Amino acid sequence: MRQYFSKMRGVSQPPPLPRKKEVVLAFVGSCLALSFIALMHESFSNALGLPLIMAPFGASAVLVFGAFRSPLAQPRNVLGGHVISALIGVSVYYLVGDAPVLAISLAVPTAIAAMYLSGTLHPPGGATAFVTAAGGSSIHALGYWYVLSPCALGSIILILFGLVINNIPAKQQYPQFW
Amino acid sequence: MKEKYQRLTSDQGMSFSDEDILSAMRAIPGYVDLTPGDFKLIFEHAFDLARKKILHDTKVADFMTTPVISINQDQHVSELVDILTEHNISGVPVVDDAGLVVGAISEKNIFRSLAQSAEVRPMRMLAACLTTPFFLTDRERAQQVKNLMTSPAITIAQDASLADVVEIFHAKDINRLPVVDEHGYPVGIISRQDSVRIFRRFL
Repeated sequence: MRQYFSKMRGVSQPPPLPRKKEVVLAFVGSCLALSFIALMHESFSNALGLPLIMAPFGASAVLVFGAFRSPLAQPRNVLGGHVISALIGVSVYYLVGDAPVLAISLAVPTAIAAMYLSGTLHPPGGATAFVTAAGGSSIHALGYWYVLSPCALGSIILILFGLVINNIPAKQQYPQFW
Repeated sequence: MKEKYQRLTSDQGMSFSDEDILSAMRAIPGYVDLTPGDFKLIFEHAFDLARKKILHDTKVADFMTTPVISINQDQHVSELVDILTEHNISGVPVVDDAGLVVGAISEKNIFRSLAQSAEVRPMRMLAACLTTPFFLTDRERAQQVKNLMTSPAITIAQDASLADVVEIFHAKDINRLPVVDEHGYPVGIISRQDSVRIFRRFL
């Protein structure tokens, strides 16, 4: 018992802070990627029935531009995580209907398990499962189309910006794997 | 977990300070989303595997010197001196008539015999030189190798590992280790230099 609680003290320390220019690049990269997504959405794609904005992309941008070395931030994780989680979220909504408590408590854990098993763990995917299962009538109205747009399209745009921006410094490389 | 780090590091006789780990992490561009503790754990596991691979997968046959120059136990010390001089070496394995390794002999054995002392020091040799009327006597010259050699022979098998070699050199006061096949015939020799050369590959 004592050993159990002593584990809560921790064993390590935080990793070092990034260099200033890395902070700048993360700021610029995420700014460009998200403003591109937002401008596309506002100017025409939403009108064409292809919405591009969703809140979980904010979390994805943290990983793709703020922790691009992370296994969680690699292309298969970004695209796979959002697509798999959205498929699960929409399916759960169809299954349980307008019951947010049940929808959320089923969709997110299922998404975690599915991302784990498929090797596409991407934390923002949990948010995608959340919003697709219980995100309101406008999202529910799109049904499985939501998986394609914004999930797949937006993920691809984020990955493309990640490729362009993160590879600018000579010593930086993205992705670690496809 | 903490205990595990310590056990790992003490096993291999080296350890990394948190500062070493942190500066290694700082050298990697981009945010490394790993705690220094996990970084250390991964590094130490990988290091341990690499260390074992070097020590246990490097076989004697990979770095021994061949062919081995040996001498028959019935040959005379004068012939031994010729062989050592000709090949610029300091010792050779001794074989019997069947060609099996029965001992080892080096310049040290000759010096010990000449100085009549187990202790081999240049100054003692010089003293023996200056005080003995006939230094390298006929008796010494005609002495057979088997009377001066160190035996039984300390040998090692071809498929033994670098770890075994290090252990033997550490435990025994010897400078070269004859390598023998499964029947006891000499197939090569490992000097201390040979084992140092192996480690140099990893510098």
